[in-house]
Amino acid sequence: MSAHNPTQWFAVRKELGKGPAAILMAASFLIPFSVWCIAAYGPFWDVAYEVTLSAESPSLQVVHVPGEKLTEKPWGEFKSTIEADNAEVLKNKEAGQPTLTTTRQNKKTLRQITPAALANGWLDKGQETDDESIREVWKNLAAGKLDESDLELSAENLDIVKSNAAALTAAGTEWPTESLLKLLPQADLKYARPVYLIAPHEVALSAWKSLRAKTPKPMADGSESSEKKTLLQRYQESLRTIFLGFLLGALVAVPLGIMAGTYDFCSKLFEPFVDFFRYMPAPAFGVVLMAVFGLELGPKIMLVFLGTFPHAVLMVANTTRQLEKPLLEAAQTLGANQRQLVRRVVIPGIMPNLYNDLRILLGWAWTWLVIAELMGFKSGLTEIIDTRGRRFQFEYVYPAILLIGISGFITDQILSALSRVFFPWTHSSPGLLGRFLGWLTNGIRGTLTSLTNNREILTPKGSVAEPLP
Amino acid sequence: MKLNLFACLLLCLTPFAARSAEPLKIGYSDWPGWVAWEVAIKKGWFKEAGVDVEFVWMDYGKSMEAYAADQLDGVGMTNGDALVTGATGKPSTCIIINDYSNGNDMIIAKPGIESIKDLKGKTVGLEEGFVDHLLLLKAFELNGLSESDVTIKNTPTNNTPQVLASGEVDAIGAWQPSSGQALKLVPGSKAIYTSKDVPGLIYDCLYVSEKSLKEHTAEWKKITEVWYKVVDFIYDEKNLDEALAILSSRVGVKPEEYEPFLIGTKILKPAEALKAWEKGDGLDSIYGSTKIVDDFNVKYKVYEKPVNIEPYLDPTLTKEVLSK
Repeated sequence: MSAHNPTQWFAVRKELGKGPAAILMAASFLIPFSVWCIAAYGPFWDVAYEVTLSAESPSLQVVHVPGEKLTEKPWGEFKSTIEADNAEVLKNKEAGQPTLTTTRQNKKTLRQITPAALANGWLDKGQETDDESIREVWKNLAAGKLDESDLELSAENLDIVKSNAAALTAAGTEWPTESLLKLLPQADLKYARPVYLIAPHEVALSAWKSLRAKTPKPMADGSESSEKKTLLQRYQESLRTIFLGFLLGALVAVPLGIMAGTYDFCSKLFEPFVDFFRYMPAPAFGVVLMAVFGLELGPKIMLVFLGTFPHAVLMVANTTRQLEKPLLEAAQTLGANQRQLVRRVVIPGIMPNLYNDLRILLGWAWTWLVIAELMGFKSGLTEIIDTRGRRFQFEYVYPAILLIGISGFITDQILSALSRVFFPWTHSSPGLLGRFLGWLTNGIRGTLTSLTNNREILTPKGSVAEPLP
Repeated sequence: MKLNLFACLLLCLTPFAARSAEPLKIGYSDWPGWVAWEVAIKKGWFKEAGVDVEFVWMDYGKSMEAYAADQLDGVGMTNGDALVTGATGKPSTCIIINDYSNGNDMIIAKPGIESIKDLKGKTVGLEEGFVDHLLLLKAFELNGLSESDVTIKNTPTNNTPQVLASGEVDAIGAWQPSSGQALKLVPGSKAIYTSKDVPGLIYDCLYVSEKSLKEHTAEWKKITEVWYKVVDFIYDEKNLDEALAILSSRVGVKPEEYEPFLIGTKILKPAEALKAWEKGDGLDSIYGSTKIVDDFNVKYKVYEKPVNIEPYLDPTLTKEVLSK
């Protein structure tokens, strides 16, 4: 079958061409993404009420806040509870025994209007607890002086505003002692997606916001700053945990592995225990690690270390053993002694595969990240995943998870491309990134050569500058 | 090259090598009575008082683990859990009573379960051996049930809302903010029993290690002074909004959601604290309460032998600070 034939997508153990391969790679990401989109935007979900104006009542077990989503039944109960509260106040008033309440309670009732006041620009941000200004808002709204463009109050609520404003005016500069009426809850209609199903655009929006967030300023009086860090700072923390753990693992595992692969003595001495040790899950040592290494970075790095190094030792040992025997025999024929065999044949010989092993090891290190960062003080991206997840704020959780995935994927791609540059003899065709890097290094080499060549012309004869190979 | 790498690594590892001349470390978690420390932290009152202290924010269960592993000098615990931690890990001494639980600890059941009696034969998710387990057992005792009537699933308190929502259990034991979260997450769920039904069963305190208390008495006294400054601040209505903003931001809820938590957590004013420190047999004394909890723990085999509660309670610092 010639190469000009239309692409045969399914052929046993035949590599596809570059074009089809690129299409499939794109599809491998697009398919899961479209499943996500269909699930999020598809017509499967009931309506939910996203609270815009809330109210509190002692008869409710919880305080609903603006932004919360309620399903049909709880929303109905919420609204009817507030209506009943208002009816009670009105009934007592008509009976001549108005319900008395505290100033604080009335202030809180008036504060219900703040979401509307902020949305419509009647109040500025920061005035949410400025009760005198809020009071003015009520009076002005009742007098029809304010423009409701962004968040409109329902007709019932406008009546309540007028009735309360009258009570406020009657009280003069004092706060009324009679209970004011509560605004009835209002809501926008939204889809009642499951709480964990966040639409792609919401995730993108929250990721964008988190990435742009600035470091919270330390307190003006220099007191201990709050623990809040930006997403990027947390990302750095996570990277540090991973790379230190990986580095420690590699530093211990590579020499041990090479030794075990080279000398049967070391293999028999190390490998049985390491093989036994690797079956014990690293997190099982969590409490011990905390007791020994404290609560900060120590136990986290050690967990990544424990999770990666036993596998790495065995893998490196195996890699070393797979070095082709003829190479060693040839070197011995040429008179290499034991030391030379290790330094000049074994180590250079296993380099490409060792590099690959370390790449896989780094991948493993990533898989331990979340468990590691939960040890002692929570840190890094895991703190977001854990605390935000518990609060069901998944729009913050997904960007953090995606960041981990993207970092792992990209580092792996880069390392794999670099391998084609470092060890060109092990690869038949350089990948996309590899070709780019090759082009880059060739370019640099070319430039350098031409530079030195130029210099050769300028330098006086006799003092020859060595051109680069 | 390799040597350099090693040096780098060693440098990176130094921060957790030595632990001397460090600030006093206190573990605190999301219980409102301990979140209140946040006021002093945010306002820099410890620095003002000239005491070097670091508050470390942790999950409740983990904070007790860390204390038992000798990583903390002090930790916020309930009087009952201090006994459990003491019997199984490391003893400690209460120097400040922050509050007693007045409704924020709840047994929350899914729709259809109306009372403690309905729990018979059901499954309850809570942190085994700790405070809300105690609350459940107390509720059972008062309703003629026993522990064998239900299946307990050991669940970290912060995860109880999700566990209730999953439908795997019929009820949970949790405190605010987790309990409120659960009520929101599972429409129709209900608090069928709360600490308000047994006020004084759960005192929330600052417990410190005996060694640290002996070596740093002056510092702990200053910390006690700062606590009563916090209490004054919170109880002044003109500061209430500021305090709510500080407290609520620590646990990620809105200030207006947090206000009811302060009713469910009765933070003790100076006079009330001194009253609670008086010896007595009832739940209005921390001695009585602790003794009752101890009997309870032995009866339900949380630990084997009764504990001598005297060394767990030391009112000296509070009395010194408040009698001034």
